[in-house]
Amino acid sequence: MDRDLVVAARGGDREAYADLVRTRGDRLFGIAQRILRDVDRTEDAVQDALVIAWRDLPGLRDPDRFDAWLHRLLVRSCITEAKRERRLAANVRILPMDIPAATDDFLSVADRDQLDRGFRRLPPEQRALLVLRHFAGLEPTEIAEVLGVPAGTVRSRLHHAHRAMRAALDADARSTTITGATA
Amino acid sequence: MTRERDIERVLDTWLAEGAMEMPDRLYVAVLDRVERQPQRLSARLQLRFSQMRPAIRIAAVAAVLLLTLGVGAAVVGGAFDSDAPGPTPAPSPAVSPSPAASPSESASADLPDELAHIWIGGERPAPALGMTLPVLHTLTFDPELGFARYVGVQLDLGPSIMASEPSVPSDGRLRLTIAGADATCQAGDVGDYDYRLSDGGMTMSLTLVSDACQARGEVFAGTFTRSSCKNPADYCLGEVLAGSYVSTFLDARTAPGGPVRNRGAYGQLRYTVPDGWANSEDWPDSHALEPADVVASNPASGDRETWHGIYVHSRTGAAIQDEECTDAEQPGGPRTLDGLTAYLQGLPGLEASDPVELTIGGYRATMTDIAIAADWTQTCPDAVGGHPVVPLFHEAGTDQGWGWGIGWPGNTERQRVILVEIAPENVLHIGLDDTSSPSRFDELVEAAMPIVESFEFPD
Repeated sequence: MDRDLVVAARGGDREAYADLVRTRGDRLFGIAQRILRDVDRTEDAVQDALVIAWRDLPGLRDPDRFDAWLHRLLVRSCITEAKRERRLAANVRILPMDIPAATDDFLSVADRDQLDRGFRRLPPEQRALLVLRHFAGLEPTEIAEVLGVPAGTVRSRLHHAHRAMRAALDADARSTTITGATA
Repeated sequence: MTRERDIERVLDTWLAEGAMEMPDRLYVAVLDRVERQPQRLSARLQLRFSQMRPAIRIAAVAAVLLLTLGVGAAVVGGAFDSDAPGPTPAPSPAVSPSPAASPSESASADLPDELAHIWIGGERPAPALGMTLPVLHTLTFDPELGFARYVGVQLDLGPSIMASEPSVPSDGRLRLTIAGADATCQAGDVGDYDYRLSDGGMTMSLTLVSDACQARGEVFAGTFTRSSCKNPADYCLGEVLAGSYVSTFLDARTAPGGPVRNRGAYGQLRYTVPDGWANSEDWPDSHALEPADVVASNPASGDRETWHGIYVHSRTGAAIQDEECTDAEQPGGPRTLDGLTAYLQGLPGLEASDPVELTIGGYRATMTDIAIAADWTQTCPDAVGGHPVVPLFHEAGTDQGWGWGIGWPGNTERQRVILVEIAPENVLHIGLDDTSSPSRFDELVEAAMPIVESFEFPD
């Protein structure tokens, strides 16, 4: 039972903690990879979050909140890592694209390209919010616990993030050139 | 990509693509670091650690705060907390059993949002759980887990108990149905309680109507204060409405070197705040009250990007003054009110006002305003940018306790140091601290002093 593992790990049992890491590693990696969109930074963020979690676990008062707490640590690590990203000086020239209309359930290569560029332009906090909602499948109340903000705030921020993503995509669709692919 | 596209569906689809597995090398790297990384005795992050190491550092306290839901194993195996008596046969409290019902029968309404919190119920005995001495009672109404549950802070005993599915069959009536049998209750046991919330929902009263599970009836009935702590590792109250509150964990009375009450020292600090304040920390050695907007702007982890509030620390000693900023109490350093007040006056690098004598909660105290002297350049190894720092205090009687100092990039920090003589060698530190500007410090003092003057330290 995971709760028993959390209690044991909280008491200093490294084997128990290793079991917790094994059962959660893929999910954590998936979340971080989508927020950061860079393998090296993803590995750094996941590693930092898991080591910090081990270090600070004795103070987690309610073991049933372990997952929400761990997600919070991961998101913090990702945001820290994202803010470390070096802004690229290179100009990236994007050729004008006449994007064919895609069906709702099909993403073309061009769609993915646009999505990736639009997503990278969002601040890391908004990226994290979108990943928690659309990849991790967390409800706003769950995201609220992860981020430590009220659920209403999460809904509002999600709305803004969706709007920002839409705007980013629209802007990208209008542009023929962007300068400095930044994150 | 067009505006018309359903952005949510697109994101669902797009984000589902990509790597889903954590590489083996990463597991190995993590476990290797874990092998070499000791655990902190407390999960509190070392505040200001990234800004200036030991100067202002709230570090680990004596022992782990172990909170669990478990008691079933204890009832079976008799392994109770060492502070508490061993298990005794459970007497029957004044509880009227009601027939058991299935969870589906009982669920007629969702848990109201205003109940979905952690609730602190103070310390009282729980004979049905074998606890004849007072123990801290907390309840969690967790909408994610779908449960109401009892968290026995002093009990660290295994699997959850009394996990109950909540419903509201009628206005003001809370029905709790045991989801799975444990050592205290049978699956399907139904308990009915009348609940009442104060204006603003800070206080909840649960009155037992009937409960098939005697133990639950005993621990759930009572009056509870809402805990909405931003830091999920802490059970502080979070933002509070105007009114009087008490601390749950701050142990102000245990003298240096004594056995700190790590699992709850309910009510050792009482204070009154106006609207707009939050209790942002509650640990055995520290308690923080900050304006709610300051708490909102800082990370939830307990790290702070700005300091602006009232920071209380128990068992004050003098910090070592050396170039390494060794994070420890001065060997043989002062621990008395007079000794610590004089120490502050003589600290190199500080501009300190003349100390003012006052009384806080009936106890003798001194008050000194401090800033770093304009010509002071000594720093600490971890101070970002090498800004000037003066270590001030460290928890007395332990090398693992809190630390406190002054020093902020740009030398914008001001502090009011209030030392309260709880006992001849047990001094409480109350720091009014602002890191942003002298004018903000003045605003803080004006707002915070009435709160500090309301402090009481009940026996």
